[in-house]
Amino acid sequence: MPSSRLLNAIELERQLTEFLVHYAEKRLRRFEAIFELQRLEEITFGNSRQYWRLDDRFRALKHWFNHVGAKLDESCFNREMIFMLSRCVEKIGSYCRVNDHAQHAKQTWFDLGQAQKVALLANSFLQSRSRNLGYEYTPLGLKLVRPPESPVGVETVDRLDSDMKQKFRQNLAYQEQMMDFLDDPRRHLFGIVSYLFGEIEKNGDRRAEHMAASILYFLKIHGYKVEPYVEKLRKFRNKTAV
Amino acid sequence: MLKNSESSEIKLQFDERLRVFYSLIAAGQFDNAWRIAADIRDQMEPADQVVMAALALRRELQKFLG
Repeated sequence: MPSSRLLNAIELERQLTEFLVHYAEKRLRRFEAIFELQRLEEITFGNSRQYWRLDDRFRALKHWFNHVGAKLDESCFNREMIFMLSRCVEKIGSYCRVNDHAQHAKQTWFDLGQAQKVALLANSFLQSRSRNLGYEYTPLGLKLVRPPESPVGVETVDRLDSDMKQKFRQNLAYQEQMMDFLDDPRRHLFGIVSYLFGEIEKNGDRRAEHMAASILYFLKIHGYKVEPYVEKLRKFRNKTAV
Repeated sequence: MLKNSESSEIKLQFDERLRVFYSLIAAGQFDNAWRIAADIRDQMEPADQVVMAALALRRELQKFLG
């Protein structure tokens, strides 16, 4: 068998393995996020005794958005999950519109100001999660809008941030977080570089670019052949520099 | 026709198997994932079918590489 054919087959098998593992990890994060969204539905719509008083319900909602929702991976949200979330946000908003004179409101309510803050929190959570998928939440419900053509934020922040030392420190912190996030005994450093390439390709993320270059240099000084990866990184650089 | 409770039970079973399927892949147990998927393949959504196709291709490549 010609050796180049064999090498291609080995490389393809490596890439497929990496794709499968990476995608499976993402799907597992989605399963976890769906589980947490079901919990949010329970808190929002549930009739259980612990939420009979609206302020108890809102305390639980506040906890969910601050401590549970904030930790869910944005990239694993899909359309169905955004709709689940929007139903909850609408219901939360409707609790805040309760007529002050309604008898049950008098019995169950005492902190409307706090509740409105939670409703705002819920709304902004939904906005940020739906933007990734090209949706915008309006008073009439979810609306499909054209997704932004390029990732917003990163470039603007870069231009404003003139302190290069500070920026470098931020990049190191990002690298540490990513290493923790991607820490897996089965994953080689090359696997992490491939993951970072995905991030660069998807978002043009400069921090990922810096981290990939740093890992490749580390591998190079430890005797690994890194040229194909460096070449790919160079192509990304050229593309983003255009 | 299935009652609502029966159909949600089936959906739960499917979701659980799909979760196990992805757990096995994430753990690198591709052959076990393949066995699990055989039962639920027909109910899978297109994105999951793509994963099945990648899994099948990987199996073939492994045969080819011996």
